[in-house]
Amino acid sequence: MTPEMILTMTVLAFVIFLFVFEWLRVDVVGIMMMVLLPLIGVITPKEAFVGLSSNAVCSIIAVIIIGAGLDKTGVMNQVARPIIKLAGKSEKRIIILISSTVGIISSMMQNIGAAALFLPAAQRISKRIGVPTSRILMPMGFCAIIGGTITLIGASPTILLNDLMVLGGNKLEPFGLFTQTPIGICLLFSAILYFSFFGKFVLPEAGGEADKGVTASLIEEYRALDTMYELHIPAQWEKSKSLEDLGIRTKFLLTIIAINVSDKKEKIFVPRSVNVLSANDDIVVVGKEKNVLMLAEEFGWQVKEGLDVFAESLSRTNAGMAETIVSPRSELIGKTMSSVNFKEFYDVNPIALFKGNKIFYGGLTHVKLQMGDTLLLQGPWEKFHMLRNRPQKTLTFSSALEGEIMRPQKASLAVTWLLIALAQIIFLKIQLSVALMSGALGMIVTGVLSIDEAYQSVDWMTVFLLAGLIPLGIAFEKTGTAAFIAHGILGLIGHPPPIILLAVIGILTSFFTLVISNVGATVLLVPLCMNMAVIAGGDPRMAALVVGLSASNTFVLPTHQVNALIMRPGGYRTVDYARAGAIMTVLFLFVELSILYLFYGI
Amino acid sequence: MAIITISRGCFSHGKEIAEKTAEMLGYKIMSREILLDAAQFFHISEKEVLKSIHDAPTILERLTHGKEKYLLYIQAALLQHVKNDNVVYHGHAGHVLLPDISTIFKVRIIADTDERIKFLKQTKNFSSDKARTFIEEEDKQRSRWTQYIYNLDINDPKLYDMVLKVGKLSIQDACDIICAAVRTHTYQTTDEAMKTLEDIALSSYIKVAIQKVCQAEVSSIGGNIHIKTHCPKIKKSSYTSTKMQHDTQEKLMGNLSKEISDIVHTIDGVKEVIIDILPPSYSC
Repeated sequence: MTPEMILTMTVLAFVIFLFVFEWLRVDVVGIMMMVLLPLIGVITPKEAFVGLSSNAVCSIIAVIIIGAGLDKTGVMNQVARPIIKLAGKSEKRIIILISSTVGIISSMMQNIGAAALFLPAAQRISKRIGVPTSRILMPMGFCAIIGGTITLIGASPTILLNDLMVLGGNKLEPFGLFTQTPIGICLLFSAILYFSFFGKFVLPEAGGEADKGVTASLIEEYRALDTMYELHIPAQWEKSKSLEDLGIRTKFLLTIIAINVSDKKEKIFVPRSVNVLSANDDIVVVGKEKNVLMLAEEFGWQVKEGLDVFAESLSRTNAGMAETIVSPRSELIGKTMSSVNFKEFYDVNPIALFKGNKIFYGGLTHVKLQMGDTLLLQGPWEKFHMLRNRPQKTLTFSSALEGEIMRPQKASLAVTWLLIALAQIIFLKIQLSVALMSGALGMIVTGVLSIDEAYQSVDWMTVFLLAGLIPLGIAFEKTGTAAFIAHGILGLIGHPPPIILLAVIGILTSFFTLVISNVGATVLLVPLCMNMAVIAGGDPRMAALVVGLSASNTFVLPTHQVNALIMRPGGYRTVDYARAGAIMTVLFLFVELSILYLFYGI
Repeated sequence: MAIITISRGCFSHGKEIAEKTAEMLGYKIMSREILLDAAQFFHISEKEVLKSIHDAPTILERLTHGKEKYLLYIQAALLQHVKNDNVVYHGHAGHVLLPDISTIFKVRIIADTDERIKFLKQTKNFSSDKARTFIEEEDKQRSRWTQYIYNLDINDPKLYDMVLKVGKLSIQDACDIICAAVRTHTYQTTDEAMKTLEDIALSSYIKVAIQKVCQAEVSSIGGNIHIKTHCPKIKKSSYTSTKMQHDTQEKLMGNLSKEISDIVHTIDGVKEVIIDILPPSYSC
């Protein structure tokens, strides 16, 4: 053993200790490695920071920016909508459609984002068809995790592989973006089959609390509001009167929040008193159900079942309600909303005014506002964000804003840049980091998202964790420590056939991932397992792939962010993850190794 | 009118003193029923509960905080029982499980080691060496337990209002002294003390009620509850954008808050609830 090897082993022991006891966060351990390893002379200062310019780090930054671009333009919502409609009423069909879509989305994007995208819809569907939410959410969550194994950039451990695959100073042939795809697809398929056929045996029949969202919670707080109702004005209604003349707000205590003017094919989202309602128009009102029925009866209008024409534009992701308070020194103090032309300047609908102990639902635009008055407003989220960002803090927001400023008009550009990046990888065989970064750059240059938004979206924790641990992997291999330990282990256990060795590697990685960081486990195990594979006559690249894939085998952990997110909505307990996750863990290993054995020539 | 806790070394005649004092004062005596309550609550045997507050925790138990959940319950059950006043408690750990308020009179009974060995030889038919080893081991366990859980030295007289050594002092004398002390003005129950005790009992009960959901610091003032806790750590297996991390943290905090609120609002005596939650930290 050389002095460098002794030093490396000491550092390794120290790192494992920090990983297990988490006295320092994993990314801080990474940064520590960037400093400690060159200080003790195990690697050169240049090698210490090589992680920051690595393929893995650049790819991860680019992938996050591309994902943020797709989010910003609402592309994913557009993908989700038809899938949800297709899901129908069959439990198996819902599980298959939702879980496979979530899995495929998370192969390129963040797994938690894919799960969060479908969570509200999955809860809604399960309630509608009377299937316990717990039967749908866990399959969806597990598939979000498995989706990360479909492409090389789906999860941090696999992104890292190409940078760690160095043996005896020689870089091994890197993996392509889709090298692992057959394994990932089979894993996804097996998870869906597992839950479709055995779901009712391993999953509880629970229904957690649905995430109602800010708007529904606010509506619950105000007694004179039920929900939004869409009404159709039939062709035989020939009056064509203005809102002021109809007096809907004063007579029925209802607020019209949207009008679909059929003649002009125009949608008005902040109706004024001068706006005219004509035959064939559609309107959306907010208020008590009985008042809506009274209005419909009096005018002969038809109440629709749920939102129809406005289903998209008034959906939870696009519009909602916010509770605001008139700020101290607000320009609104002492004025009425009609006198300041509130709707014109603020572009949102006032629904109710809470003043003193009274709540006004009608005539509120004629009430003088005072500091501390509470206004319930409705409108597109974008307008609320703009209002909140105004330098004059006229209104203070007391409720959370759900949506954000979206750029749906840039959706096609976002998809184009993603396709350009993928085309470079698939057809031109351009290095991952360059191709993905060009896609990210394209999105920024064409205004899909600003450079500041791109910087803000980056997950710096993962970036520094990868950048910091890559030098540790280099030191582990370069000093010969990995080879030394590999020889030692194989000397003890003999020389098993490659498939047995890979099975042991898979089990070991799955175990380590539960105890320590998955990136940490990958960095420690890849050099070691590659050396063991070489000694045992196996393919070191396959050993690295088993480590990278098995690091996503984290189903039994209720602390995994996807599992934590669905825990309450699904009504799960820790033991449910242990039961369903343990079987999934075994199934994962079995499918992974079988596909490797049958199709990857080991 | 007071609550008396009698802490005792093994074979120091503490039980007899507690029973006699209770009889003289006309107080209720309590010991085992608290453990029975806890055993029923957790669906485990009384023996297991007893073990949790008797043996010093193993290394694994220290890492997993395996004993704390039983202790929390025992404390809550004890407070529920003693809040009605006029009680002598001679069960385990009364001196640390009950708060240091004026109406609670904490007594420690000790006895000369030779006397204890003699007693053990007579009652259990032990040899002198076996009796000595047994007593030393027992004292050590109890001492290590208090040291680990509360970082307190069981033999520190500052933990008690009174320490009595039985030997020269007879059991009857000890009882007389305790009764006389309790009758002094200092230990008379006041409304303020009872309110404090009720608040402590309520917060202790809430702590137990929400312990399946989280570990929390709970305080109560007149039924207005303040809960301070943190979301458990979350792990990510892949990169996550800053916004998504923030949204997930918010969602998990919201979920935890609702879960706590749902539980706490079903408890009698609760008026308002304020919940402070530290966001979950990320690891990957």
